[in-house]
Amino acid sequence: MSSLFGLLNVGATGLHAQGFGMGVASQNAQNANTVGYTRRDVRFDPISPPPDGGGGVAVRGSRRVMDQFLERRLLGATAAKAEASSRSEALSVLDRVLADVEGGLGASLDDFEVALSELTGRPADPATRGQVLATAERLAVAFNQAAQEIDRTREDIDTQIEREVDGINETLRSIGELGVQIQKSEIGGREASDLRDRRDQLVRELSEKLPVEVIAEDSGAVQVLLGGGPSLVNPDGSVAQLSAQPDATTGAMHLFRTTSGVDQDVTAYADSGALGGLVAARDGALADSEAALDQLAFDFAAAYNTAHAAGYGTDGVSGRNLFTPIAAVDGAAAAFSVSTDVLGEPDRLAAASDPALAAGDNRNALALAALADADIARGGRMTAQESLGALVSEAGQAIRGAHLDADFADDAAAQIQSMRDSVSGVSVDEEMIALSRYQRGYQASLRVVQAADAMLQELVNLGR
Amino acid sequence: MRVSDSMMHELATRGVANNRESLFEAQRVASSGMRVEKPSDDPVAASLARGTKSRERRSDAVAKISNEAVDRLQAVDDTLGNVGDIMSRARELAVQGANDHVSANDRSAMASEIAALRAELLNLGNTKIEGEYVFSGLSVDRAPFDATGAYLGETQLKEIEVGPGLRLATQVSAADIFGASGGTNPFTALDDLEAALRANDGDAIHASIGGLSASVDQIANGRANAGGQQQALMQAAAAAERVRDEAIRRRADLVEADPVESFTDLVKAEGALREALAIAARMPPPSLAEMG
Repeated sequence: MSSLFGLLNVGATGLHAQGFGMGVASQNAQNANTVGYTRRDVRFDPISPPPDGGGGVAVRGSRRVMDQFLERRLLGATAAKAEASSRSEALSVLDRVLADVEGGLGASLDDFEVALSELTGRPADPATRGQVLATAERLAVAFNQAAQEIDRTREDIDTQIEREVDGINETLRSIGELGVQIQKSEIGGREASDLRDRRDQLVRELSEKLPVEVIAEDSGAVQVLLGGGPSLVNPDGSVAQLSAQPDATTGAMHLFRTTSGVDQDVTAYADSGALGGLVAARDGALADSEAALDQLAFDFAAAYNTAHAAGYGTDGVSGRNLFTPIAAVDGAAAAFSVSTDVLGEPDRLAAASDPALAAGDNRNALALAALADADIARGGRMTAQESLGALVSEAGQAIRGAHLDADFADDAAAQIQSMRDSVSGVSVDEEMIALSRYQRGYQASLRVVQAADAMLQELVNLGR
Repeated sequence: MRVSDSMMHELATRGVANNRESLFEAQRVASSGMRVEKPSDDPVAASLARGTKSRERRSDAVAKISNEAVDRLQAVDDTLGNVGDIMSRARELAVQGANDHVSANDRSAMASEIAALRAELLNLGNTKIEGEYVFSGLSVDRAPFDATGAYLGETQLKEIEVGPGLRLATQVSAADIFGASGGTNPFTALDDLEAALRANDGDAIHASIGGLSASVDQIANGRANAGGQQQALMQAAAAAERVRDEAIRRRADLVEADPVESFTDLVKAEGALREALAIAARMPPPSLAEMG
């Protein structure tokens, strides 16, 4: 049996330990709603009785309860969710641009074709001629607006990418600094749970922007890898910096990692997270739609100009353009406009095939109207309407795909989050039970002190 | 499974959020009556709907210009009727005038009437409707007949396209009716008759009857052809209207919501949200914390 004073000490370690336990349980309960908080459990070790030790209980500190495997999966799911939702948000502009509404591209194309068709019936009627020019102008506006909206969205995305990259660099530095702090704090052997929580929360935030993988070392140091490839944060706390730059020729966005002054193209690794989603939207469906729109505008202007130039206005003059000739496919939709050859001059519309019959001849109008059924778009495989329909379908699929991906990723992330919370989340009830357990333990320790005190009292009285 | 507090709250939050989203979509469909408003609602349907809209508008335009052509041909038909009447009257006069008992004076009076009829025929030949000479073919701004009755118009007729590659003429062939392309020229026939009457030449008057009869037949044939053109254009208009109506129906099938279905969906979504809210309203769950 240990000494009576030793017994007092045993009681004291118990009081300290139960108090510590209550502290941890209270902290857990208080942080039930704290984002990124991982519940702690208490580590007690028995102290061997004399002669080996003093007896009682030793507090080994608290430790975060977590499953590394789930944490890793959560990072992946978070990145996938952010990718799909930012992609779907960025693509929503196409839904607006290509919606089949009054004044939209499709309706304007209809109006123009209908006006030409009516021109074949009334080639000499000034009102009908005016209608053709008016609808041609509206079609031009529709092309311009669609191109501008997509362009503006891509510019917005560029700004957003720049901001995200700045934020990412900031986060990378913080993670590196925290890694160093954690290593220093844990030299004593106790886990720096709060610092680790903060670091893990930062990594989670990072995973919303980029796909990241974390390799944790026992020392508390971490290495953060981009998409399982290049390192962003090294165990020694040094970090790489990212930058985004569009390619000079293709215009596609590229992501670079700069370490000690050397740039490495890491675009291929950044295929997830909000940044991955933005790049995918920008250089995927948005670029494709813009290119398809440009091609359609280019082909359309060329085909109608050729047919129009062959005919004669009521003044017997031929060789006029209906639309301003477009030099390059790139930017054609934005440049699409009614030619100054005919602008505001309905008489100059070339409805006639014979200058001598310019007043009543509708044969060139027939040729122009027939272009609606001619395969003038997509390399001579589709009519203008079919090409627009194909664009609607392609863009629609891209947006719908993004929506579905977002829904799926959202569910998957929620499920993994739930699994993670099942391990690491706080249950207030559990903490309540823990509180009463430590309360009971505290009472027991007090009894030990009381008993030792009573025995000491009796021992002292014995000497009187 | 161990259930943390955040799991319960997250479950309730997601339940409410998902059901609100479903209800919002059901409301959108029910209030707009449109299942597909944006390409992403149903990419394939949206793409097909674009085609149906184009078909609807263009068929409508074809029906419109076809019906306008029918109206114009109808007006031309009235004119042709008058032309026919003139030639019939001239033949009547020729038959009367050919009788040997008719005096030179009477023949002279008949000749004057023929001259008036000829003037009227020239007038009718140069009929304008909506500012265009109807018998000029494509040269609508040029009078088709000069004072001698020579045809100055175009034989090429104005056509419209009523279907891909399918064109119908919207003008009558004045050349056929007025004999510019190898038939009988009514002006010449009248001139001959007038000259014969004035010359008081019974044989010549008799001889002119044949030409006049041929001219009457020729005009009757021309009217029949014009009627056939009208018929063809009316059929084309009706066909275009059928295509248009079919396109409208098809489009409705593609993009519009079935009212019964959309209302049922709305009710279902409301019910689901109500249940999710009832669950959320029971938060927080019973806990030791409240049982102190």
